[in-house]
Amino acid sequence: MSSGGRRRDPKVIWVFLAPAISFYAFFFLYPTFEAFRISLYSWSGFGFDTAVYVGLANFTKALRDKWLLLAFTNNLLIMIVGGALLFSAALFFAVALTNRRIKGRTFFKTVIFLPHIINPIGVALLWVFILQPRFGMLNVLLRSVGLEDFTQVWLGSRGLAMACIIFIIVWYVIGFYMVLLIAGVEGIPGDLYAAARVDGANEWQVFWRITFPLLRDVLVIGMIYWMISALKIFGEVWALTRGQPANSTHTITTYMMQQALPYQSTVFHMGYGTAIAVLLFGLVFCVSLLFFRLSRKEALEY
Amino acid sequence: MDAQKKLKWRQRLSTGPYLVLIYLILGTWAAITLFGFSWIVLTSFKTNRELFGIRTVWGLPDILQWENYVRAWTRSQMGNFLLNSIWVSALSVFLIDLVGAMAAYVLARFQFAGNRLILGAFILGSAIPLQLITVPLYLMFNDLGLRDSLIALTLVYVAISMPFTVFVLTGFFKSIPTALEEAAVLDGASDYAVFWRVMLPLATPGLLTVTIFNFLGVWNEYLLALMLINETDKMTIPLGLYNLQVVQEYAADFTGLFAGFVIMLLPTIAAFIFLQDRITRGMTVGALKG
Amino acid sequence: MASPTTRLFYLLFLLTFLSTCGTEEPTPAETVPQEEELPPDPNAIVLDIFHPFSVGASIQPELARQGRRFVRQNPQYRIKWTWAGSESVQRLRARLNAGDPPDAALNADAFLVTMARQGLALPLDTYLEGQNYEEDSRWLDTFWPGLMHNSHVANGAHGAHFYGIPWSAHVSGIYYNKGLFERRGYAVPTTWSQLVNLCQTIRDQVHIPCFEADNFNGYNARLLLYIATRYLGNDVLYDTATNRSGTSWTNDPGFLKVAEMTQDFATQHYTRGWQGNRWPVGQMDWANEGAAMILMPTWLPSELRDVKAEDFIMDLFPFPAIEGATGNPTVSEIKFNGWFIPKGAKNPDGAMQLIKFLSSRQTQEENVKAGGVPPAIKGVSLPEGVEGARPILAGDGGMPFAAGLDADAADWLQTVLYPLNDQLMIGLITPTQFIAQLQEEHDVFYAAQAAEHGGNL
Repeated sequence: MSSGGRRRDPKVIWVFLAPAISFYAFFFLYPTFEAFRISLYSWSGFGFDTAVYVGLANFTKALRDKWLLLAFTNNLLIMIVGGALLFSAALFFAVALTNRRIKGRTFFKTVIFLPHIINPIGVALLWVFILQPRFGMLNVLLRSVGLEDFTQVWLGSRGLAMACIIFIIVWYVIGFYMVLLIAGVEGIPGDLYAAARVDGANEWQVFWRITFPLLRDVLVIGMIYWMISALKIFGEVWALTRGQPANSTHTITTYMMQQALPYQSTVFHMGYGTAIAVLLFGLVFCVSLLFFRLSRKEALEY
Repeated sequence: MDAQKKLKWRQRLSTGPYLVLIYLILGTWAAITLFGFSWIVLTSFKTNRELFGIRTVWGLPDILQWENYVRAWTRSQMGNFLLNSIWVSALSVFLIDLVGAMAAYVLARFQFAGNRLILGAFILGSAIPLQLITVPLYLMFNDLGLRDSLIALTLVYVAISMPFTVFVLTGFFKSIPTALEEAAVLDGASDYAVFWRVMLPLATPGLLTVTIFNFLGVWNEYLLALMLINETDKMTIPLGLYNLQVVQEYAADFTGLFAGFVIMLLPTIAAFIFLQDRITRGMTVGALKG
Repeated sequence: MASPTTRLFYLLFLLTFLSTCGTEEPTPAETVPQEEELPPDPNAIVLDIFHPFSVGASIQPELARQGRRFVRQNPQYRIKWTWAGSESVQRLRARLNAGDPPDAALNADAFLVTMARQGLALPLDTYLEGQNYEEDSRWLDTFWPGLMHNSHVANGAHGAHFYGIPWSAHVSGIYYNKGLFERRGYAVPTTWSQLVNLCQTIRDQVHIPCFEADNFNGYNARLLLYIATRYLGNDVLYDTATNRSGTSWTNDPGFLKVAEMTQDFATQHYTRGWQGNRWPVGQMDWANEGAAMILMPTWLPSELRDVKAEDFIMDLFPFPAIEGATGNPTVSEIKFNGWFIPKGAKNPDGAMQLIKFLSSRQTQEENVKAGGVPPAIKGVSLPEGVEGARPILAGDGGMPFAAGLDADAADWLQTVLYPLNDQLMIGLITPTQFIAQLQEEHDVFYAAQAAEHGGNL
């Protein structure tokens, strides 16, 4: 698929790129650099003239902060365990729901996507009610079928709470990934299949040479997007547990929120919070760069 | 996942017991979702007393409390918020699609120095957490006198959606075969015409996917709105609901809150239904062409 | 069938039409007559009033209505309300920083103390010496005595003065299921050992835990803080936490005892899994007889008013005294919520007139009726479920939350105490470990402070 030999009008390039670049640079990149600057100060959040320059002190503090480290491991848990669950399920659904033999495909597609449109606060309240130890639906259900011994205090300890959080996040976002994969599968133009069959290719070759490579691109996009989301995840965790009990279910961003805008305190740690955000940015950047390099190498080899 | 395994899965789909298993998994997942979703909707019709009574929390409402909706609407000025949300979301999404598609087209199809760099810069943006820029944006907007400006909020939403949109659309543009483009060029079409007449229609599935997710993202976004909008009558829905929930702790009006959630859901469902229709049509068009 | 675009257009049209239905002012309680708004008057003094309620929150409509009545009675004024909503502290400080202070602002005691210390609030003694709105007594005397000993009497930048005028008074104590107590003939405990015995009895006879709780911000620490102030005293706690005294957590054995008592009680008598309760499910559980008691401030009844079963009656008793303790046996937390006048306010006299009006008997009674807001003044009937707070309010001294640490060391509480307290209460660390780590974190915290500021904030 080469696009060489085309007449290229340089003006077109800039006309088409300019709007996107200007929006992006002005409202996104510039504040980012400002944020880098803020992270070098200790600031209570009001009137920047009261801020105290501390250089890299916020960063050394962050790297020694045991709660932040715990939060980071939670992000990793979400990314890896959640990712495994998410992509297995999304692939399964995508493959199953594009197969003509399955009835009710539209129904299932819609229902699986449904959680994604509910406000995260609503999702959190729903699951907080379901997971309450005494009257929550899950334990009530378990008791009613005689599985009393399996009832747990679902959000009461780090392990169980993280497991629930991971499940809820997967449940919440699966619609997105499923649609992405389905679009990948169904976005393959039919004439490619037809042409291949005319050439005498069998089912296997059709899959391997057409469906899979093109699906792979979408899978890579999806995985990169998931990894970045898992590192930045905020709303669902914040609304569900606020990082509790005992700071054990924090993610990097919820911990940052707790630092920068704590509830009953009149002291905000804006500088420190921003430093954490900068570290997060660095982390996400490295991770996506790594993944990008790896996936591109494979594509070339193929 | 190994290609061989995938193929075997597809073959197995046609045999009986695996079909049952598939339906079982699909069914269980659907059941959980439908339970959760219907609970939210049912709760929006209950009295707060019914929600808080452990015998009635999981049951059906005794009488449908339509007044929850009235309360959510008027007490939290939902009307204003809805209007604000619609304008902001619609305008944002329109601009995002336009601007993003233009940039993605150029990045996907044109070779020029800095092509990879610019694409990389856009993708890099998805690494930036929103929390990082909320405070600087607030300061920036304050200095520019743009506080409480819904237009400014829209522009910010466009900017932050660039990474995702450009990334996905570039991928889609790249995957479109060049045959039609080349034909159009041979017919003497300018680059602009090629873009409008040929590329955009072909990229419809990608555009619609991106539209849905950007719409969802902007519709539900409250972190930036929280920082940038203070005037109550400029608020968007998520901000209004956040207000309802956090500030109204004393009122503990959860059924009103849930009614608010359902109200918020409706346009999204409507949009999804409209666009879902188009996506499948767009995809089958592609399949029939062969 | 119309095309999708047309359908979308109709939908948008419909929504726009519907949206116009929502822009009216929300109607207040039915039995109260609507107060008409007086027309604007170019000669009137406009009072710029900042309030943390957002429109529609709590009793905001009632307040707005009261404002209109004030203007009718005092037509030389008009009121411009700022209903700040969430992040009101930030917004208020933004205005103060911008040199645009309101004429009066409502806030909690911790914030008030900070303002006073920084010289940003005006002393209000002379106003309090004057008459109340009804002109039948000295204004200062109309308030609950327990409230006036509170932190709004601060050593501000201008010395020890009153810097705040209370608007409401919340107290914290132990809420109990009154119906259950009456049925079983349980007596309200007044000492710690009575409380512990009662908890055991309840567990044996009724098979429910003693205490339920929601894991909500700093609320968990109330138990520890109450035990500490009972056992050791407010001053000891305050001075050690703010690094002002020679005592440290490790060299006074009393702190270890406090930690042990906290852990024993929390692990034995709190409901299993309370730490996973995200508000409001803990309260809900308690209101459904999931537990006997809950340690909460007096906003609990108004929160549960519309949602609890009608036959569920609650009341509170003060946190019990601890036998053999050397601290303050009976001081309870009183949360002051009230007005202060920022320095540089343009119309302090007018604002004070409004504040006097808002602390008059009629408006305070309306607050009780409209939202169960406990009154700041005596002589107004207490809302339902708050009667047990009377001795605290009428007593000779309340303490602010966390013995004043909330105002002066909020950061320390959030960073040092709360995370460790949470772990202590659910048994993740032993009391000895708690004390050791508390000391460690405390030292790190103050070292960092010294490096940055050379003092506290």
